[in-house]
This record gives sequence, structure tokens and C-alpha cells, in this order.
Amino acid sequence: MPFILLARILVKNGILRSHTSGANGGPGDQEVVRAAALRQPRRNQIALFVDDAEYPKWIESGGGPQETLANIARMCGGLALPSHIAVPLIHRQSSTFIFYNHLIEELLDLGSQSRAKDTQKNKKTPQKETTIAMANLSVQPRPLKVAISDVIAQAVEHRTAAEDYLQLLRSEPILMDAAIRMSYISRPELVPDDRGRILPLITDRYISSAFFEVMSDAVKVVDTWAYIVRLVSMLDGLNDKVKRPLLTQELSNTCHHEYRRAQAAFRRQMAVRPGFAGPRFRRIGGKIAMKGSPGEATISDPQLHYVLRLCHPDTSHKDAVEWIQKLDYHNAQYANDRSRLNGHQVLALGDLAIIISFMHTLSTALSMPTGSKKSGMLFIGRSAELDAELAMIKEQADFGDFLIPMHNVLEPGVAASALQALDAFVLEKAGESLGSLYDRMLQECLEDVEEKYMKTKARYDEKTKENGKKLGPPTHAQHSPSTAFKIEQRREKAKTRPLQVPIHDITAIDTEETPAGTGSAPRLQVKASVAAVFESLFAKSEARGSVAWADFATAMGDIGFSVTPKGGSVFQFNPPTDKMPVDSHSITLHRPHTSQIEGWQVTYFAKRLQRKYGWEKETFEVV
Amino acid sequence: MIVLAREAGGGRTCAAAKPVLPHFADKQQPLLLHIFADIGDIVSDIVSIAMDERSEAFETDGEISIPQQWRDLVRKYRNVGTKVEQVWRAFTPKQREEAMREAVGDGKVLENSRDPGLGRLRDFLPDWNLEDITSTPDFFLERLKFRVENNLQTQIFEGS
Repeated sequence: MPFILLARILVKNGILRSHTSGANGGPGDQEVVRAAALRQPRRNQIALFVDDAEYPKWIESGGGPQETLANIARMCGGLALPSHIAVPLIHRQSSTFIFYNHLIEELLDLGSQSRAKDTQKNKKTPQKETTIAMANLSVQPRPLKVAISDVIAQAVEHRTAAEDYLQLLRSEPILMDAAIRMSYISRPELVPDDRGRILPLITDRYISSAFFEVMSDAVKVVDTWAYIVRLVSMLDGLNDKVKRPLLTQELSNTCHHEYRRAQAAFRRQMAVRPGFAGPRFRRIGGKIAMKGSPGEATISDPQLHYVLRLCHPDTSHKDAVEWIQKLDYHNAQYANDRSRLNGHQVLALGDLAIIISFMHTLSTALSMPTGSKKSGMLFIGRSAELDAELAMIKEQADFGDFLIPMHNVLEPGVAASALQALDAFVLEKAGESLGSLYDRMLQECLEDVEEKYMKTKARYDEKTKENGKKLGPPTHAQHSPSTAFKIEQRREKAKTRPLQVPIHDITAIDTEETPAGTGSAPRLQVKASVAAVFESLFAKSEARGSVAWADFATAMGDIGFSVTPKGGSVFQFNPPTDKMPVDSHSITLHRPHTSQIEGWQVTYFAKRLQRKYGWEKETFEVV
Repeated sequence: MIVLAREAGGGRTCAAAKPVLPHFADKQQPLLLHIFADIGDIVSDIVSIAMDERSEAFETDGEISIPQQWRDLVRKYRNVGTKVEQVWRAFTPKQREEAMREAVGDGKVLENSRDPGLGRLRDFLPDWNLEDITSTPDFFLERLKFRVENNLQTQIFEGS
């Protein structure tokens, strides 16, 4: 760098000034490291500590006389240092900042722990054997063939579950915090690449990315299920020879898309180190890839083998059914192995199991074409475009004012402000809010379907007349207008064409304002132990404790629910026909990793049950 | 080069020397901190990587960006500085020690500024020692304040 340029930078940054002694009179870093510098080899290199973008910048001093070096140093206002001083100085500054950053996090952690200890003294009840509790429930095996109305009910259930999750993210900072952490510590940047390197460490900017991912994924999952519900509903009773294949293809592709999403999320969790599957993954660019083939672990570690199969991109959703069953069987046999999966991994596995199980059910109700990369790309195409756009926006996202340090969202009002900021940020960058982006995509996909149907039908009619050859379904037109144009277009649309589907807002919800249960649920006469379980679940947040999964399952069984295991710790509870309203549908719930429903999960269970059946504390009457 | 990873289980921050082959044997235990195992080796490692222009990885991979770490610290201080000060002052020296040991991952810290251990850590980080950091709250708080209120270049020449 020419010195004159250097000097300009220095002046601009206000660095060019004399350096004698500090305001408090303490020694600067250069002086402190003197002892270490003495032991350093001397090299013909100089470090410039001038530009933050490259701090330090190393240059060759050319082996010239000491004078040259002294000159450079003078020119840079002392910010050019020979390597034997620079190296320990770099070490001192980086160690100091890393330790100080960590110390702050640790002391806040310890501070909040000691506070928690003072207020919370209730001890966990010893865990009951979950498998025994489940045995008390009548297990309803998955039917060989299901009616399309049941498929719709299941899809609606999954959509509702996704909506409830999104709502809870908006109202419960505890869940938000847990979700951010789950995303943050599993980020692909921490998976070593071929050379064993991970991307830069702990910097707080990853918290912003994690937050962005949590919210956009939550909205995305809601919309995917909403779209699936629409497609299946449209298929119900449809005999149109043109429309039916078009819809089934689109449905198949959409399910496949969700399967791949859930699989990638599970892979991401399994690649976390430390962890028993961690060493089997590496990072290529920003993506997580598997090392070797899953089959290598067949003998040595069957559980790992099943997990790797489920993570592998070559595993189809049909094969995955078998691998999940094997994994479940293995985990049931070997309790120790079950605990090798951590809570996050079990959650991700549950999500994967849900779509695999749904696709399985779907295939028994409808003859489904296999996922196609060519035809029926409406949802996949639009979704990929939106994902790419959001990924670019995510890069610029910085919500550090709210999210730093980790767990700061637990402070009063912070989560709400962070959500507000995210909403405004996406609105500014993309022309519409996160929720509207996805909702509009859904609406456009449905319009695409109609448009494509009209076109295909016209062509079909024509061809039938001509007795022409068979035609394949057309694909989504790949016109990509520039981003700026797209954003402008969206703003225009938002004004002129309001969304017909409900917008999935992401801003915070005040729990106090959320409408309470409809109260319409008929009273249930139950045993005292059952009432106690639901009393804990529906307790107000301050009094919230934890409920053993075994107790919950037993209580559901007492009311008359039967259970259908969906694989991967996911269970579908089927309501009894006698005690519950006739239109009651099954509810799908994850068994928590610790077999203890606690923390945000208590709220989640309560919310799901309340939305699904209108239950609240008063529903249960002790006889 | 030093590379850090956050342990999945307990949220502890850990560090390991390059190449990144951290001790992940037991996920319950904080990872070992190897930074100071052999300072001479690592320092020459830093230099060799820094000097190796062919190593693209150095540009993007495993690099500790001092300015980034500094900005993180500045932001933490702005967001929760007051709380940090309250908590730190309310702590007993024993609690401060616990936090300090957690912060380095393997719990190894210098006893005092004269401690010759840990690969002669005192030669370049003498102020990060148990006695000074934990016996009174002010020592750390003053340094923290100085670090966040002054730019990196100033810190080369001045201290608190």
C-alpha cells in the first residue's frame, strides 16, 4: 500500500496522533507483550494494524535495513509493527476479546442461575418408564388404507401444529430463545471442512442469522402445510382427467419438498459436534455433506447406520419409513442408545417422521406419482426463488441490538422488539413482510395451478380432437425479473391486491390478549390423577411446572384416547367417539427427549390441546 | 490458529488449537483449551498461516477476526453493560472465579500476574489472572470499559 494512501486512512480513522500514555496511564498492548516479543523469532515481515477490514495486514519488509522499518512505523503512526511484536500482540488482543466476550456470557448465565435457584425449588419427579406407560394405551396400528377425508384431517392437524408453533414463537420468549439456540449451535459453519477447519467461531452475528432462520422456517412450514391442505382438499372427489394428475403431481412435489427440508434440518442437527454422528459429516462450502456411506456403520454401530440413512440425500421417503422403524425399534431396545440423541435431534427427527408418515398415509389413499424435477414445479420453483431471496436478505440481517448476548430475548420486551425489527427489515428489503411473502407465494401457486389447468385443458381438448400424442404437464414459466423490479411489483400488488389467505404475521403477540378457550368443550369426568395432569398443563405461566410424558399419556388413555405411533417419538392421539364431539380429530404430539414435558413444551402442549379440543383447566371434573 | 466451538450441551465456549480436532470424547465435559499448550508453536503457526498466501482458507476459515470480536464486545456492553456490572459486583470472589474459569473452557487460568505457568501466558496476557480479575470487581470492569470505549489502534498504545 502506498504510504500516502495509508496516511489518508490513518487520518480518516483519527489514528494519526501521538501515543504516549493512556488516559488512565496503563500500558498499551504493545508494551505488555514486550516480554513475549523477546522470545519471538525475527522475520522480515511487518504487520499493519490500520484497516479493520484486514487487521493486521502483513507485508514483506524486504529484508531491508532496520531504518526502513522504522520509517514505515513512523509513517503509520506506530501502527506498523515488526512480526516479533505483532504476533504476541495479535494473540493478546484476540485472547482478551474472546475471554471478555465469554466472561460476560458466563457471568450472566451464572447470575440468572442463582436467581432461578432462589425461586424454583421444586424437584423433578423420578421419571417413569415411558414404554410401560405407552403400553397402557390401546395402540391403534396405522391402517392399510385410509380415506381421503382422514388425509385431509391429518394435513390440517399438521398445519395447525405449525401455526401453533409460530404463534408460540411470537408470544413465548422462552421458546424463541430455545429455537434460536438450537439453530445457532447447529449452524453449518461449525462443521469442519475437509481440512478440519470451521468457519469463524463464535461471533455474535450468527445469532441474527439464527433468529432469521427460526422465523422464516416457521412461516415456511406453516405455508407448506397450508398448501398441502388446499391441494388434498381440491383432490377430494375430483374426477377431472386433466386436473387430477396435475394436482397429484404438484402435491407429490410439495410433500417431497417438505421431506427434503425436514431431512436437511435433521442432518444439520446430527452433524453437530460433539455428537455420535458428528464425525461422519463435513462441510463443503456452506453445505453439510456425509463422509463415506451410511452402510459403513451397519455392523459396528447399527443406530448410527439408521441415522445416517435418514440423513442421506439418496434415501427416498419410502425407504425412510423403514429406517425410522428400525431406529425406533433400536431405541426402544437400548435405552442408553436412545439418549445418544440430544433434545434438538429428537425434535428434528420428529419433524422428519411427521412428513414421512404423512406421505406414507397419502400413498395409501391416492395413487401418487413420484416427485418430479420437471413437471409440476409450481410450488418448488416459487419456493426456491423465495428461499434464495431470503438467504440474501439474511446475510444483511443484524438484530444484534436485541439479540446480543445470547438469551437476551428473555429480557422483558426484547423478543417483541426483535420481531418488530425483523418484520420491518424484511418489509424494507423485499417490499412485503415475511408472512405476506409466503402467503402471496401460496396464493400465486394456487393461481398457477388454475392457469396451468386451463392451458392444459385447452391443449388437451385440442389434442383429443386431433387424436394427437400424449402431452406432459407444462412447467412453471421460468421468467426471472430483476429483484428490484420484483420488489416494486410486490409493493404495488400489496396495495392493489390484498391477500385472500390469512397473513401469517410474525410480530409479537401479547399472551394476555390472546383469546382464551372457547369454553365450549364438554366437561370430562376424570380421575383426580388425570385432572392433576391437565391442571399442571393449563396452569398460568408463573405456576408452570413439568409433567411427565408417562403421566400425560396415561391421562389421555384414561379419557379414552388411543395412540398411533408415527415413528421418531411422534405420537398421534385418537379421540374416543363417545366422550368427545363427533368432529374431533386426532392430535399429533412429540414425546420430549427427557420424557418430561417442561419449559416451553408445557405451553405448547396446552396450546395445542386448547386449540384442538377447546380444553382448559375447567374442562376436567374430578369424580 | 485458534478455533473455537460452542459445545452443544451446556452452552460453554471452548477453544482448541488448530487443526480442529477438539476433544469431543465426552460431551458432558467442557472441551480442553489448548490455546496455551505450546505458545511458541501456535504463534509460529499463526505467522505461517498468515504468511501463506496460497491458503485461501485463511481468508475465510477458522480466522479470528479481532475487529469482529471487538464489535461483539462493544455491542454486548451497550446492550447489557449495566446488568453485567450489577451482576459482577454482586458476585462473591468465588462466583467470579467460577465465571472466569467457565469462560476459558478448560478452567485453566493464571493464579496471579507472576504465575509462570500455562506456556508463559503471563508474557502476553498477565492481566488475565485469577487474583486480579476476581478479588475486586473493579479490575475487570475498568478494563472492559476501556476496551469497549477505545478503538483497537488506541489499545495498542494505551491501557486502563
